[in-house]
Amino acid sequence: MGKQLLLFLQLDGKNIKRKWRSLPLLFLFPVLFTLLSAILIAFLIHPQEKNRITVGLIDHDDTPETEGIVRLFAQSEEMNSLFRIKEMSESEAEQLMEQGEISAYIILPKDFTANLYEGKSAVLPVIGNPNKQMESHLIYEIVESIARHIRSSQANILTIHHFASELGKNEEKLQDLLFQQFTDFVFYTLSSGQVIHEKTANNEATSSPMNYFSIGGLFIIYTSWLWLVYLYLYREIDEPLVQRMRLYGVTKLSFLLSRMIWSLFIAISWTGILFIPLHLLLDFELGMIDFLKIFVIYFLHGLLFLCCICIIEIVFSQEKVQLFLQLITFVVISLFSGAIIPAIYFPIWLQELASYSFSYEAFYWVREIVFYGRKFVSFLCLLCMTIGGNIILFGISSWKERLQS
Amino acid sequence: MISIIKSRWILWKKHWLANSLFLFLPVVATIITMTLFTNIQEDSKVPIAIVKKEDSPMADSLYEAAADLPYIRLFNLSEKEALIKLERHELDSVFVIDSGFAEKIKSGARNRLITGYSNHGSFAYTPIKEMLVSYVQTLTAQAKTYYTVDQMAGGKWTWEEVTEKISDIQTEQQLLETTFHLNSIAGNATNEERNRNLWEIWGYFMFISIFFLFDWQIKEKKTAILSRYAMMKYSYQQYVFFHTAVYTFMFVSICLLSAAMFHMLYEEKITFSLLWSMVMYTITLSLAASILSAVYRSVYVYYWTVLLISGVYLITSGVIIPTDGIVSAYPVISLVHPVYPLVQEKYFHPLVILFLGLFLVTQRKQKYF
Amino acid sequence: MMLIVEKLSKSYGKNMIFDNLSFNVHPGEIVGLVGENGAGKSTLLSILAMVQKADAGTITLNHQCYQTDKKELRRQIGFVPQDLAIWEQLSVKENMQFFAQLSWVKKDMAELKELCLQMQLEKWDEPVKSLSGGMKRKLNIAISLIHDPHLLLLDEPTAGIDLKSRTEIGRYLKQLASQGKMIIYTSHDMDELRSLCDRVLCIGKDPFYKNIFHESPIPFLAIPD
Repeated sequence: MGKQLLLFLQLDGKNIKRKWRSLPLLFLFPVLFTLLSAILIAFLIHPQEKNRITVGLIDHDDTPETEGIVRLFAQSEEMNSLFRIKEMSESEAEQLMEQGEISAYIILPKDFTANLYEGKSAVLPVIGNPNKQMESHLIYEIVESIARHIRSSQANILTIHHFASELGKNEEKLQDLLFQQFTDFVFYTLSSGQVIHEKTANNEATSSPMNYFSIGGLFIIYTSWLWLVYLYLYREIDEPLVQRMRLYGVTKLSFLLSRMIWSLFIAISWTGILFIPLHLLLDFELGMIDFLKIFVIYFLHGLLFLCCICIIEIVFSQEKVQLFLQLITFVVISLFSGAIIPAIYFPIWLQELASYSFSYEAFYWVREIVFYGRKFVSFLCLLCMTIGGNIILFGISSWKERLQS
Repeated sequence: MISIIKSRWILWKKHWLANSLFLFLPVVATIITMTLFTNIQEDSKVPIAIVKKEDSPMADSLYEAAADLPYIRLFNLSEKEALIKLERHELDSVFVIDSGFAEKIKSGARNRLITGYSNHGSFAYTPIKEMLVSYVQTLTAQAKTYYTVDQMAGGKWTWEEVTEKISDIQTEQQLLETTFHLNSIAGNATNEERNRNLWEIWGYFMFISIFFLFDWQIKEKKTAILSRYAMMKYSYQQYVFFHTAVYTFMFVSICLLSAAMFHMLYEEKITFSLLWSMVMYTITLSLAASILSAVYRSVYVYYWTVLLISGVYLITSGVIIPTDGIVSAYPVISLVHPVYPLVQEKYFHPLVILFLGLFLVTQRKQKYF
Repeated sequence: MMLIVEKLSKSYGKNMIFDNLSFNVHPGEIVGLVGENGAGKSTLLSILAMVQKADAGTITLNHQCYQTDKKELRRQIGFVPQDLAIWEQLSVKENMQFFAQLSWVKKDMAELKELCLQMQLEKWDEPVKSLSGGMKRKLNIAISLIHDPHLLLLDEPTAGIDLKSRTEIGRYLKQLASQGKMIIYTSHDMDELRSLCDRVLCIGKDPFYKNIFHESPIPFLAIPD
């Protein structure tokens, strides 16, 4: 077995040397892929100024109160960061919507304020652009949250109205009082910034999302390299050749093992290459021994991941089925690691499920070392899983081998 | 044509299991993914902690209000514990109700009633902060109301009476409502309430299904058999052409099946524009797959390429990362990515024309004999 | 009914395969094609089968020209490639069915089975993968015969198979010839050529084959050197 493996390792090595030109492509693809995602996310977080969504506001009521509401909308922080509010007439709004210029418009209907004061039903319709549904819904959410503020003010004003009329105030005085209260409440609601005393909770270096996602991204890139290099080393072997190999007592497993070892070797070296600039850029305090620990974790994780990939390849004979299942495995393993979305945001049942996966365990320890400077790392769990995974791989492969012969 | 279908059937049934698996993938996998998605979305909760430094009914009511929020998993911890957990990223954010909270509110003060801690990885800090602020504000507004009434009446009513009245009004009277509907003039109102995610996911699995099943063209390009087409009723060109048609037809029927299934399961409205977009999308991909598979000689390398393309497809399709921003900034993306005409239910799919042209060109080049 | 080849030339780049080659084949005739490896036997056959194009010269079959009546001619030619042009994963039956669907003539299952039986190919339902070499060769020929071609071109149909299958194939070819079909086939087996062929066409530059057949009783079709 050992001798054969050595032979195949040499063979694959020669193969890589022969095809080395496509290796940089393999190296670059996951990196570019991650970069592309980063660009898309950047677009998501910082929408372009010129693309700020315009929202129409139609004031049919035209009272000082509605002006106050218009101002409330215009000054709302969440509204302003994403949208631009523009007052317009209804026909104008419809025309602009047809042209795709505005995503939604809000109507302040006639007698809006009067109804508001008297506790009659007052409705604030939001009309969305069917071609911009996502944005329309977003606008509606924000309008609803502002409406919540107004609702609470309304309840307070009505309460004052109630007690005032019980005191027998006359209607004119009451109106004045209500108007004054309304503007009071509107401004009161606007100046809410001080309720919460905001603090940030920890030391910069370890917790910025940039750091988290760099380390997470590297972990995912490493995993995808493992898979890509493994696929890259695939060779179509004709049936006659397989038979000849079998004569020499060569099993399919030796092929696979050689591919596994090469994939591990290449992926780890590349990760090392990528880790150096990342380390300089993000400035972690890692010693030599920490690197060694991270290396061991990466190694065990890689070995386990390749075990899964190999088992799929052994069990299923159709190539497209293999690839599809490997794709699913890759996605699940990556998600479970928590490197893409931190596991704390998962539902509890998924968190529990994920905590059984080796990628979760591996990334957990990587995080512990890099972010929290943990000195003690327990490899036991990962090691057991690695041994278990390999036993399963050997078992299945010899079972399949027996089945074929 | 019947003979083409029969010949296809003979080859198809050899690997019927794997083939059917991929054929029905768009329906089955979309349903599975949607179920997982909704489950995860419903159960996904943001872990936050609220530290109560005082034990007043008001502080309790704030805590309860936060606990009622559907997307929050609330922990009641000591401040020290909570801050350690926050630092270790085990909590999203921490809010501390400072002592004297109720007193301050009753006295009309409204600054620095709560201390909020976030770290740089807090996703949910701002929305939760807003929620707490708005809740505290209702409390302080109540205080303001009380003082206004108190000023008018000179101590006639107590704090409890006034606040009770406020909550009465809130429950009994019709307060401000908001409504939302989509404008029916600006677009076809039919795609109201379309579940966009569903169609994006369906689009992706359709992509995988079509491209993986089009490997037939590579497998059947074996040189020895190619020479037989010189003597047959169909030249190899025609063979590929007709079989592409058969496959496309098959995928179109999967479209109809998917539409029916999604109508039953998710109450998606089936409209002409939806069906048209689905069919156009399918034709686009079938042509693209036919062109791509005509280029390759090795199935494995073909699958490889398909996987890489599917990765780029997935990332830019808006399933994982919403792409509205970048698409409206660069509308060109919606021209080159087949999923956008699908989800926007456009009647004109520019890629179909391109691929049809390319398909005809590659077909001419395929002239072996 | 006759195949007439006149002044046919073919070269791959600078490498001239054959030049100015002329011969004809009559109905009911079996013509053997011999020559050293690389002499252009397979090339000639694929030109006759319209799989490849000649550089110069004309070919007519039943007064129909290869350049102009392609469509008509396709129905009349059967070609058995040297490599096995069959689906390994399908059974004999499925292979026959598949190609019958794409063929000019509609044949029902009984007729297809009969065709196989005539060639002593009895294993109807077995997957091709598990067939012996001889059986595979027979199937390879049977598929080419589905549309009853007038001209049958066989590229080493008997390579690497046992004597029994070889005799069976030979016997079947003779039977086809007696029905008035024209058969051209290549082989490296002298005994087979001697017993089967009415004439032998020798191409290539090596005089070795020509010398052999000069001494043989079979009529020998010389080619211009």
